Amino acid sequence: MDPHEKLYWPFAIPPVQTQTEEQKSQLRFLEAAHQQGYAPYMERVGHFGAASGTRGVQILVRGRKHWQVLMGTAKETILSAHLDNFRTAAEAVLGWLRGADAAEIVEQIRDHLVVTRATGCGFLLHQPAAATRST
Amino acid sequence: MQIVEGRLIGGESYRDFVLPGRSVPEVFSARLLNGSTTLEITWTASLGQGTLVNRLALVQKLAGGPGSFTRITGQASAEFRDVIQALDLDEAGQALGKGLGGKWGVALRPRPNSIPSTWDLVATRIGD
Repeated sequence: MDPHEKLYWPFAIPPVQTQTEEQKSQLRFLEAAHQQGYAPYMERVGHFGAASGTRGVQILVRGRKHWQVLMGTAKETILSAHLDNFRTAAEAVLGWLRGADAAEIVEQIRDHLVVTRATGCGFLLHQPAAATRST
Repeated sequence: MQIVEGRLIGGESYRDFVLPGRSVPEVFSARLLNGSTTLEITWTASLGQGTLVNRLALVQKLAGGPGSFTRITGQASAEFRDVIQALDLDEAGQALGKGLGGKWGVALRPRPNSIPSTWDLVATRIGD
């Protein structure tokens, strides 16, 4: 078994009565991304991803109540952020795929950043001229 | 260290080996899918070799002992690439051998088709 094997939506899911709130949130992301043509997938180990044109996103599981979102292109990562719930992560990445500005996304997710010594201020925003890390 | 069992929406069941922090939710977590021998480190607040090996040794003990996993992976985003590239991978392999038993090889590989780019730090048990 390859834990990083990608399962592209749609795929078989547990019965609704056994789904947790987080799983329902994940399903909403997969359905919304699929409807918009972003080819969403879930890796067997639990990470998610999708792409739209030149933009790509990943939602990486980093523990209980900790998800890391990555937004960028094949050339560079534009925004990396650590968030405390999947729903906010999903909204952020869907916004990026629809064409939203990364700085605007940061403002939308600020209240849900995971701020620790390891994550710094919780996000890293790459500006075209130089990388910016707020402190 | 706590063991948290769960099931993913794709159907896989798993065990997460979690070390809670004092002022933060978790300082370490690693996931082992049922039926898999690959341990995925989903989070580590420390890249200190000794600390990480000790935590992996504890995971191995809780997971069933040597052989419960023969591959360890961790996916790193771009901002951590330089830190990880600075690691002495040979030394890391030797440290894993001392902590987990056996011989381990460690490699850093770009994740194919990853947008944006990410890297996998992969440790593989290559012998006894």
